[in-house]
Amino acid sequence: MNRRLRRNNSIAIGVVRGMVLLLVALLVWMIVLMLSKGWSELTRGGFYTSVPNIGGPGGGIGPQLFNTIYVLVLSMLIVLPIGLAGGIFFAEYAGTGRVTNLLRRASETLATLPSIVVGLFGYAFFVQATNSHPSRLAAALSLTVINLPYVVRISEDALRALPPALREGSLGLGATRWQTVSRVLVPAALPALITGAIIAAGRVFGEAAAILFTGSNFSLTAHSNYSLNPFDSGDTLAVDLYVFRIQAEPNVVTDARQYADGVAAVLVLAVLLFNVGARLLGRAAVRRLQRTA
Amino acid sequence: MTAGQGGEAPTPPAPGLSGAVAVPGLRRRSRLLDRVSRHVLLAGAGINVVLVVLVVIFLLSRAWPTITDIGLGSFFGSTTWDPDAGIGFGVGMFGALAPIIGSFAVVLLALLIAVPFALAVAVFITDTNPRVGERFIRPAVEVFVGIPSVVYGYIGFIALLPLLRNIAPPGREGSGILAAGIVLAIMVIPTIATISADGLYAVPRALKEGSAALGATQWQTIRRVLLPAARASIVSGIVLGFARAMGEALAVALVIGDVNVIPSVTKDGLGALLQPFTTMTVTITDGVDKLAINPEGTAARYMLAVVLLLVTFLAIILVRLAARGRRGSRA
Repeated sequence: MNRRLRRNNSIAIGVVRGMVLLLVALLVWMIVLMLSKGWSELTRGGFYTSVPNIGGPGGGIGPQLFNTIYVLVLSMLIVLPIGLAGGIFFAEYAGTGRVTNLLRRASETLATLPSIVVGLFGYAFFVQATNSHPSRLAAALSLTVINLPYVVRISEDALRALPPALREGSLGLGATRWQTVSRVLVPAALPALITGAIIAAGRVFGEAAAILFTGSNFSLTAHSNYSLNPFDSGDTLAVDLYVFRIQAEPNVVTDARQYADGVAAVLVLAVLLFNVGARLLGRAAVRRLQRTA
Repeated sequence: MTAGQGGEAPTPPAPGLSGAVAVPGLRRRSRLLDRVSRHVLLAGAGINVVLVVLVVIFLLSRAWPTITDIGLGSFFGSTTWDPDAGIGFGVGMFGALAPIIGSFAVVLLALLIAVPFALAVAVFITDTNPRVGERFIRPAVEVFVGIPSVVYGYIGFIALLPLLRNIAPPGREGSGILAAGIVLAIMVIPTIATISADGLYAVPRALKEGSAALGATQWQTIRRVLLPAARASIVSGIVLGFARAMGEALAVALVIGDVNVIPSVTKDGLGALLQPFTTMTVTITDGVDKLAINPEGTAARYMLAVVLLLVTFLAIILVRLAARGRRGSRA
């Protein structure tokens, strides 16, 4: 009896470990696969700067990369101040009343919205209701809807993680609440806030469904050549990973594959960089805090 | 570094403070600033409510023609989605039964695959191998989360479909419920795993130690004590995973084939899982270049978005109920 139990125990635990190992292997395999497929593109001169050339030699992701970064910066410029304000409110001002409850629920709801639903909303609100056409601005605003609850939460968490003595000390010295927030708490939470902002930026980098409806022009080759006009439309890298499939004729899909391989590799590489970057920054921040403490 | 440290906690408030104490004019100004800032910050939080209201209003108003022109009966009751059926007598057919069935079938399969793996990860991190889990598995899970969903779809497209083509009926691409289910499963494992792990962490040590002291094996403790005690979190994780899988669009669109015909289980048996099919999100995505030219189809797609929205709301309510149950059981 006892021996059977012990055997079952080691089998079950072995299965648990095996499943985890399988998943890790799968993750490593996916990353290696994506990077190796796109490696020749990633390392090719001109890949990051020239325009796509589907079906021919050479070509690159220049306009798409530019567009991705443009939309990313624009949406971060909008979402960071608003999200930080919301986070500060929840962490420092909000009580436990009905209003706070309503605000929190709204934030949760927003966080759970599928991005395709945000895309349809963005099309109706940012594009149609303004008598406009799909554009980088509409895409950036839609991404703001997606990222806002996330930025609110990381800001709130960052402020809540600060030692209470910081807050009490400042208030005790006679500073107003706003002085405490703006000159003590936010500077102290800056490392965590930056880490969170990087992760939020990473999410924007890979988001596609919402941009598909609000800023895309469904073409691998048509693009606004590095213009700075926020009302221009254009595909981002992530969007093209879908567009290549619907736009390219079946016989061209093979040619578009080379381009898509490169795009996928860039996206995976970006995820790794964002992830490592956020991690390193977080660690450096902790070290710095420990040194000053 | 030294310049950076100037921005650190203790020093900056000094000038503002001395001003606030010594000079009355400055004091009034800082009070005013305090009051104004409070409202600005409230606005930052309040914009969430505004956005939710706007989303609901705009989706409903755009979906409205589905009720007036297409009819909810034919929308929810018919499997025929044919914009051209209306040529000659007005409105085309927009029955959404197939995509609705498709969504639930795909998500159910995804959860069947994902839940065991997710629980294994959660148990691994919190109980069997906490040190390896903290050092390697948690970061790995974060990378999993960070990979864009469309990249998962692409990996499915170039790696999974050729694999499934081997076992699919001749002439099939390998796309279908099985491919979409597998891709979605990989995507929701991190969601379910991290929330379940949080629940397992929160189980009081005494429960675990008590179980061990009574002579239970590690596995018995996991199965009969830890997992049941963390039930509420696990349910929350599964519900959120469900919502995420339900709402995922492009990853599914790349591997499901996008064909609005319900695969016949009676004719093909398990082979039905390898027939190209569609889901709600895929049907919405599919219309992205027809939004302006096909108003009824667009309304029907907005109605699908409303259905997704309702599913999302339902998921949030379920998670709240689970959380309440958790508090109740602890008290």
